[in-house]
Amino acid sequence: MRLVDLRDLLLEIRDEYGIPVYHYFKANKKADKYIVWAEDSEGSSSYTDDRKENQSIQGTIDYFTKTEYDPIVQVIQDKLNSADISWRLNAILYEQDTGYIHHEWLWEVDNIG
Amino acid sequence: MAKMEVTIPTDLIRKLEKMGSQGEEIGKKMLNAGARILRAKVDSNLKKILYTNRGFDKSYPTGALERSITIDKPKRSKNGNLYVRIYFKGKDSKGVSNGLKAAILEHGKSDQPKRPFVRPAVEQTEDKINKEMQRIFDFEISKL
Repeated sequence: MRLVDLRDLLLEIRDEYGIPVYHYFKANKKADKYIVWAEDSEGSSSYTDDRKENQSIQGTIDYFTKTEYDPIVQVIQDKLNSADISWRLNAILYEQDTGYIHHEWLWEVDNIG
Repeated sequence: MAKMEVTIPTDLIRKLEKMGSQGEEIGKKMLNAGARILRAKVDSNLKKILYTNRGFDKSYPTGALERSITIDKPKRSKNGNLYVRIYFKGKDSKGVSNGLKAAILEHGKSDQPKRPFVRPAVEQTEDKINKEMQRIFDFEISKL
């Protein structure tokens, strides 16, 4: 699984469910639900003979929704399960001031390309 | 919330269990040593994101968030394993929970980008903590 494959996976959600998907930061548009994803660091990597043998990349997917029990949460998890990607649900937060429910997943892919 | 827990490596848990109450005391010493390493890294990562490239103005941090990082007493989980929790204690002068402030920094908000400092600290200290716990284990065993 490469970074661009993860992008394509999330764009499938955009196309199938009409959820806006942003890379790094949200565009200045109002939406009741949207996804922001970003790579942020190197994940677990391995070395052989003083050279990097395998490099993995980790990052986050953030889903902001104003809908309780939003089925898109499961859709995102099903999409991640359908691909060769390790992930975990890292946090669920409720923003009192905006009304958004914020789900954050951590993921790791094995190629930066 | 931005939560942190230090646990004992599985192979050492079994050895400690066989030692009874002495093992429990050694386990607590190991966890406290590991927690101190993690606390120090969380503290330095937090200071980096709060104070780097920042002018001195009204919004300049008071230092209360770093000071609130607290190591709890070692406890047993439901499945019987010892662990220690590190958390952000109390509220700031405006009554806002330090745990909530830390969580917003770590995970971001719909109108605020995330600035993770806990997750990197956990990853940066994992090996160091395991080595230190092993060192304490070996030292305590050699005294018996």
